[in-house]
Amino acid sequence: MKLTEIVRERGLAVTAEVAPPKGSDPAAALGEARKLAALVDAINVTDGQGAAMRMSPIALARLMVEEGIVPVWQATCRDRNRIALQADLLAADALGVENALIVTGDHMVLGDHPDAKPVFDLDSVQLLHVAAEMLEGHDLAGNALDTPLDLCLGAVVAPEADNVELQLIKLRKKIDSGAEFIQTQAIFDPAAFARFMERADLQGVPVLAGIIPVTSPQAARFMNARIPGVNVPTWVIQLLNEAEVSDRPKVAAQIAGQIGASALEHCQGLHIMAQGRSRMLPDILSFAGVARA
Amino acid sequence: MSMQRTVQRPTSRIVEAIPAGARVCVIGCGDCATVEHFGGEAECIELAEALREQGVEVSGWACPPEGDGVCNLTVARRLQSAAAEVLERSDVIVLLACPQGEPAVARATGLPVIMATQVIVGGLTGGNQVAVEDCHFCEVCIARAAGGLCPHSFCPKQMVNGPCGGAQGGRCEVLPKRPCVWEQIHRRLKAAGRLDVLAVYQAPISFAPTSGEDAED
Repeated sequence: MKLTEIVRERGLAVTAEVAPPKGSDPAAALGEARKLAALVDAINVTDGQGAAMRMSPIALARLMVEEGIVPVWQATCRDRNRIALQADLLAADALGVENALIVTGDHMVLGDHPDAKPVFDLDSVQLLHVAAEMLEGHDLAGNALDTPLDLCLGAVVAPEADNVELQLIKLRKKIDSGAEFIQTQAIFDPAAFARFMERADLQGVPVLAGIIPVTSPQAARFMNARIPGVNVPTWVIQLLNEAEVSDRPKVAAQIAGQIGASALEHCQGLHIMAQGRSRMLPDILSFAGVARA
Repeated sequence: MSMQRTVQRPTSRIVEAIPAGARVCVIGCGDCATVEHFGGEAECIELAEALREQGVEVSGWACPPEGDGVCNLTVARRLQSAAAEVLERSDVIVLLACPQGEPAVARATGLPVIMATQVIVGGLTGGNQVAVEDCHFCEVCIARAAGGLCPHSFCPKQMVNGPCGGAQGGRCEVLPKRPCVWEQIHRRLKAAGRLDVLAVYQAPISFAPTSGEDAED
């Protein structure tokens, strides 16, 4: 099912994410996806997240489709040129994947193969543009496709990035290029998010606010240092510091859920990045007020 | 250090850049462009002919004597007086010089300048360790509007449609010792009242090896 259809039918969409395995056995990742699927509408499958080499997300997305789970394939521009990117868009569609989240991708120097050749033949805005052309039945070179591409195209934005004005300009470009839904980088400041949403020229495109549960002060510091566009504020670190270690998962879920609940006053859904901690999802969703009955 | 040289752009690219119906004056350069055969008298005559063959209305051509570079404003002004009659019948300049010639020619003639050359850069820049790419002729040249800051050359992800959002404290997430070039571009364009440049969709650039074919070794 397409994310836009989910938003239309339910009034909102809640998504989570899984990472493909570092190996060829998909069992553990699929197991995680099954658990998440009972709680959310769709599940992002990351594409070499953090520029770390893992199984192709298209393979895991297909295995999810076979089990009736709705995947959102994250398609990064980092590793493939324009020919390979278009080929994979067609492949994902052929395999029953219905949603593609188009991102430029983390640079290789941040991952486990820092010496790899950076491709970046297209950026996210250009790939959105190309994919939108393919929906109309043409490839980038203008050649007709036998059958038009059929994918719901998503894009990302970082509302808490250093430079919000530049993010807003680029967001509008992504929407003009064909983004049908927007998923944000993690947000921690609901007031800032509200201001961002007020300024964003969304043209009616639904937005899913990104939520990351932060489970320890150490995790917060790591994320601030290593995850692009993420800024865990000091009040979150303070609350985690004050909590007993055994209470921290609950505190983390409560903080994440409350941020999510505030965000939902201004957007159409949540994207929860629990980073392997699927057991926290029920608490986060219930604090956010979007747990399934 | 950086190694660079100027070569003529493919004629088709030059034609694309000329507004429909515009009358063209081809201008060359008596200095390095003459010595390196990418913009001396012979190349001016050749290009004028090639443009006419493509249906472009060429009013004429002009080139300073050997040794005189159009990057020198005095030379450019002298050329303007010498070629005044042709320039009066021209709407745009097609310039066969290195990029240093562009501002002087634009100022001396008061006409829009279309560059008929491109600079091919290889190797690494000084302390930054960023590989500088050759110019790929983006739809809108951000570098020109932003005082030489080319995102394709200076962003490690070569992003031409806006920043990745990963900058921290204005520093590039990939090369933290460097400022994010997009932050710099944004500051300059904002100060110049030219944020409209950033709103334009930049189409994928061409990596087809045409410039290599044109270059003589």
